[in-house]
Formats: sequence, C-alpha cells, structure tokens
Amino acid sequence: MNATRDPHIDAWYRNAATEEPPAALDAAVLAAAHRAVAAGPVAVPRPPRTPWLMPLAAAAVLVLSVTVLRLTPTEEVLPRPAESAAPGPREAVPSAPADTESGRKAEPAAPAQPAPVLPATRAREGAAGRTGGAEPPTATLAKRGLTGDDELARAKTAARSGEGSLAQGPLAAGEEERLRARREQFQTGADSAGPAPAVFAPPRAVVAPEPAGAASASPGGATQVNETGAKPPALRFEGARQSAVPAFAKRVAEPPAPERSTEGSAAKQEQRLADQTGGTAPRAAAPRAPGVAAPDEAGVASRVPVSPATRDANVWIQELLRLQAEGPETLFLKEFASFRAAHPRHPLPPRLQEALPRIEPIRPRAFPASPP
Amino acid sequence: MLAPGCASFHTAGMDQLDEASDEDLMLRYAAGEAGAFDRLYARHRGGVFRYLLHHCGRRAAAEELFQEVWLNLVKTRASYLPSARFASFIYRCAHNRLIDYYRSQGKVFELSIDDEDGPSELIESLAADPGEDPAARALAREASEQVRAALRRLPPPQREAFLLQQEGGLSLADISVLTGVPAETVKSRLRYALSKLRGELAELAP
Repeated sequence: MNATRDPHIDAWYRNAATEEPPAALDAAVLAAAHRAVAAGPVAVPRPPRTPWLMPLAAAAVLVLSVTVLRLTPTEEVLPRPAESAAPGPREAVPSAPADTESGRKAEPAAPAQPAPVLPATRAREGAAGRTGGAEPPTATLAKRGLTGDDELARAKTAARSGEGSLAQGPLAAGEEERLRARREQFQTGADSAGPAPAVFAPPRAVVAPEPAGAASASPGGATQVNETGAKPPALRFEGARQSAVPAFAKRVAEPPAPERSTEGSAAKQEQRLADQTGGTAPRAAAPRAPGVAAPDEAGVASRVPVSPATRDANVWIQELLRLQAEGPETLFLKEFASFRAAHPRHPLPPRLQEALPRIEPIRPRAFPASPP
Repeated sequence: MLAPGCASFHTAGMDQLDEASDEDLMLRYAAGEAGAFDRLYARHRGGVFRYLLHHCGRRAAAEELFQEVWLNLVKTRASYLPSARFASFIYRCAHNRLIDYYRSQGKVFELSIDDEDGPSELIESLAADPGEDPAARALAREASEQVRAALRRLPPPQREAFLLQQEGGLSLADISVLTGVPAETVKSRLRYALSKLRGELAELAP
C-alpha cells in the first residue's frame, strides 16, 4: 500500500465530498468562455521591449571594471635573489692593485664580470678587499652609511665579548701555531680527498700570521707596528670547509647541485691563484700593500658583503640577531632587507619577526579615505 | 456530474473531444474551439469547487473564487503553454486565488464550513441515492459530516496536500511544486493527514 494513499480514506472522502458548483455558476462561466471565443483571438501580451537595456548593461560593466582596476593597488614585484645578489660583492670588494701579478690581472676584469660568487671566491675577495683593495674600508663603510668610528667601536665590543673567531688583536703564540696546524691539516685533507663535503658557511675572519717584514697599514695609510715589534696578525677568510663552522651551520641542508658542482672549479681557481703568488696556502692572507685596511678592522672585514643567493640563511640569521643586538641599527636593517630579498620565505625567529615591519612596511592603500 | 439544466455541456461535437487530453483541450480552446472548454470544464469543475470549498469553508466565497479561477483561465488562454499537466495549472490558479483571498481576509488557512452557511446547507447539497430508505440516507449524511469534520480538524498544510491529492489527482512532485515545499515535506504532511483521518474515522470502518 502506498504510504500516502489509503483506500478506506479515499472511499470515505469520495462518499462524503460530493459538493458541486451551482448550475447558475456553471452557466455564467461557460457563457463567458463562449463570448471570449466569439470575440476573436487574443493577442499574446509580449514583454515590453527595452532596446537600451543591453547597451546600458555593457556600459555599466565597463565602467565598473575600469573603476575596480583603478582602485586596485598594484603589487610590487620583488627582485629575484639571483639578480639582486650578483653584483654586490664585486662592487664592494675590488681586487688589490698592488697585490700580486694575478691581482693586477684580475683587476680590470672585476667590474665587468658579475659571475656567481662562491664561498671560496668570497673568502679571497674578502681578503683582497681587506689587504689591498682599491677601495679602502672607509669607502665601503660610506656606502653603508656608516663611519669608521662606528665600525671600530663595534669591533672593540666584539673583541671584549670574545666573540668566536672574530676576536681582534694579536693572538697568543700557541693560538697561532694551532691555527696554522689546522690550516695545513685542512689543506692536505682537501688535496688528498678531493673536494670536501660542501657545507656552506659564511666566510669567517680568522687571524692569520703575517710573513716577516711585512707591515700592516692603518686606514689612513700609516704603517703600524705593535709594541713588541711583531706585526699584528692579519685577517683572512676561511670558506665553507673551515672546521670552526658552528654546529648549526653544519646541520643546514646542502645547497643546490649547480652550486656544489662549481665548488670544485672554484677551489681549482683558488689553487691556481696561490701557485701564481708563490704561497703554499691559497687561503693565507696576501701581503698587504700600503694604504690597505688595518688588522684591527676585523669586524669590518667580516661584514664584507657576500652573495646573498649563496649565503646560508641560518648563519645569516645568527649574524642578523647579533647585529640587531649590538647595532648599528641602520646596518642591521640593511642586512635584514638583503636577507629578506634573498630568502623571502625563510622562517624568522621572533626577534626578527618583530623587526619585519620596519623593512617591509604596510603600503597604504590607494582607496580614497572615507569621510569621518 | 453536471448540474441539472445545464444543457450546453452536451453539444454535438462533445463526443469527439472525449479522448483528448486536458492539455490538448486547452490548446484547442485557445485556438478558438469553444467546445473544448466545455469538456475541460466538465472534467474539473467539481474538483476545483470542492478544493476551494473545503479550503475556505464558506460556500459564497468558494463560488466567487471558483468563478474567478475559470474566468482567469479564459482570459489567459492565449498564453497557455502545455509545460505541465493542466490539472497542475488549474489548481495552481485556484491555490493562488485562495492565497489572495486569505490575504484579503487577514487570515491564514482558516476552514470553518459552519461559519456562514451552516452544516445543514452542505449536507442538503450532498447527492444521495433517492432509492435508499431514510435510515440509510441519514447514515450517509452522518458519515459525510464526520469526514468533513475530520477534514476541518486537519492542520491547513496537511489539509491542502490531502485535497490536492484527492481532488486534483496530483502527484507528490506536483504538490511539491505547487505549494513550494520539498516533496518529502509533502509526503510527511500526507502521512500525518492520513493518520489523523484514520483515527477520526475509525467508527466508519466496517
């Protein structure tokens, strides 16, 4: 049985509901129907024509589209990391004019070659910029909007706090011997085992012994000799294979394959440069020419800009945190902006997240202000 | 059943229209064939009238609404499109007229046949077999009154669904479209209506 039909109910209803319309009503309805037919066909009413409707709708859509496009704020296109990073180190650290023969050969080609900068190349460039660069460190500082006093005070602060391998001033004899032994051990291990594992780390400035008779130069060009008559130790950069790389930097994921593949050629180029200069240690500091940076400017040399594209993000963050804590603020903001340009999606620690609006301010919208 | 004295229903060409569907009859009437309307009216006059009468509960109002429904059909005959059953079309017209009537009265689905005409007039209008004895006619009248009383006590939505099903022969889908509610709701209303009518009319069961 259908759930919505009940035969008993149907029967009861059929027996009960037998009302009919009165005959007079039937006659009236039928008469009206016949009269309507006799009057002729009825024109079917058509909807009113509105020929202006479609043009009006098209015009309205056009006006609204143009209005929305005009009111929509445009997004600024961020430069790609590769584009923004390439010319930086070349511009900041030119080669030394009076360094070596190779240095003289490399000098004219430096500004015209925005090749990708590798860690080893960065180290060499850093050393060259420190020791015999055509542009003194003060000029580099001027480009950053800083003064030499700021950097000097910052270097002294770092020295007082005993910060890593960036300690300033002459080292103890034992420490020099230990560093030399480590460097030799590293070079022999690299030569025997081929290219070392590519663990990228920022170049670190360490103190390297100076050859006898060499003189250091102050920023003003005056030769400096310390009280004991010995030359102050020179700074040099060590690349990614430095054993003093912090543990967190070693845990960083390996860089992309193309960069790793060019690491070997960079090492070869570095070795070739060392052969030309006659040095046994390709990463040892070259003798400084008069008028180059002083050794107590280790802090300045350590901040020689490197390629942001190849710079390790975690190590960079550590440097940013340190820079944020110690200042100067303008340098921190500039470095932070460079970091964001190179690593726009890298997670930031809370302290850096707080400073994020200062380098990425919220752009004002183009909509007109509503009346109060 | 045709009202007595209404001889115009039996025209010469009426028999030729018996096989035609409601939709065909309506199209033929729109084309100018008056006999088609006569046949169409004969098929649906009783159902539409009872639907209106049991809904509004007043005979005078039901007659007025009934006339309006059919005259409206005459006026709009040229724009009729057989997109649905003619029964759905005519009962939709009746439903809309009822809505207008309730709005004009400020009421919603009130059904009280006793208000104006009284039960006696309705009972007197019932067709009874003249061959039956007075006792049987009295029992039939009592049964009819019980059915109408049970129908009055139904909630208006359930009563409307029941009347559309009984008088118009509409399906669940047609009732759903006409009343604007889902088919499952119509089904529930019909179930509740049947359940209540069974309880009310249990005495009539043999």
